[in-house]
Amino acid sequence: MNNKNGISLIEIIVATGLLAAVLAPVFLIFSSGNRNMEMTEAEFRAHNCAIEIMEQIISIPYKHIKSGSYTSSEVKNGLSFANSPILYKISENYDSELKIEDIKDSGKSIFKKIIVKISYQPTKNSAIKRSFTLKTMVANETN
Amino acid sequence: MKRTKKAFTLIEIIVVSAISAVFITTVVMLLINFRKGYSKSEYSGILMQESALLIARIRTDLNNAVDKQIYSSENQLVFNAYNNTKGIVEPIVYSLEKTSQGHIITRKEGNEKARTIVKNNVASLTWQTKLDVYDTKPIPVKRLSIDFDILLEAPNVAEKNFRLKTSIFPARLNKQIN
Repeated sequence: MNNKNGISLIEIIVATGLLAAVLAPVFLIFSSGNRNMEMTEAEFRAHNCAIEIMEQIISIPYKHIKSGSYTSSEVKNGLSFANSPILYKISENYDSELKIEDIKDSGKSIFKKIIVKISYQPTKNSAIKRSFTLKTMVANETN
Repeated sequence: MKRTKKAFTLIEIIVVSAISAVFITTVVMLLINFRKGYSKSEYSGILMQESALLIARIRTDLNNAVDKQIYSSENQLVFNAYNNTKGIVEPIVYSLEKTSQGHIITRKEGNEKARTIVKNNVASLTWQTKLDVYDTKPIPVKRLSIDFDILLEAPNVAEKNFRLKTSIFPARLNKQIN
C-alpha cells in the first residue's frame, strides 16, 4: 500500500524529462544566433562572387558580350560569351549561372541585361543550397 | 515490518541528486558554449562588416577613377579620381599604417585629413594592380584589376579571423582602355 506523502522517484524522473523537453528549444534559439552569422558570411561571399563576375562582363567591349544562357563550367571558361577568360578568385568554389539577354529597339541591340545567379551553401553542414541573384544592364555606347 | 512513507529514502535522494547533477551540468555547459559562440560570432560579424565596408569604399572610389595609372605598393594604393562634390580630379590614397595597437587602413582624398577606415584589426593586407592582355580576335582585350587579400584578426579572440580574397575590376577604366 502506498500512502502518497512524498514525491516518488518515477514522478521526479518524469518531471525532469518534461523540463528538459521544454528547455531544449530555448537553448536551440540561443545557438541559432551563431548559425545566422555563418549564413550572413556565406551570403556576403556569394554576393562578392557575383559582383566579381559582373564587373568583368561589364568591363569588356560591348560587342564582345554574347547573349545566351551559360552554365557554371562555361562561366569559368569565359570564352563562349566574353571572348576572353574570366578570372576567378573566391568565385572558384561557387556554382554560377549566367544569362545575358538583348534588349532591342528597332532591330538594334541597345542594352544587354546580365543576370548572375550564385548557388551557395548557407552553413557548413547544411544539405540545402541557397542562391543569390544579381542583375544589371550594360548600355551600347558605340553609337 | 511495515514501512510508512513519510520521508525520502537514501537511495531516492542519491538517484535524484545524480539526475539533477547530470541535468545541471548539461545546462551549464550549454550556457558556457553559448557565451563562447556569442563572442566569436560577434567578432566575426564586426570583422566581416569592416572588410565589406573597406571593399565597398574602394570599389566606389575606383568607379570614379579617371586615370588608368593605379599605383600599388606594399602599404599604399594611389589613384586619381573625380570628386563629384568639388568637380575636380583628386588623388585618393589608401595606406596601411602601423600603430602601437596594430595595423590600420586609412583613406586620404586630396588635401583632406586622412581618415581611418579599418581600425587595429588588420593582420595582413595585399593589393596588387594587374593588367592582363588577352590575345582575342579581332582586337585584343585588356583587363585591369586589383587583387585584394585581406586578413582581419580580432585582438583577443585569436582563433577567429576573417579572410577575404577578391578582385575589383574598375568598369569605367576598363571601358576606357579597350
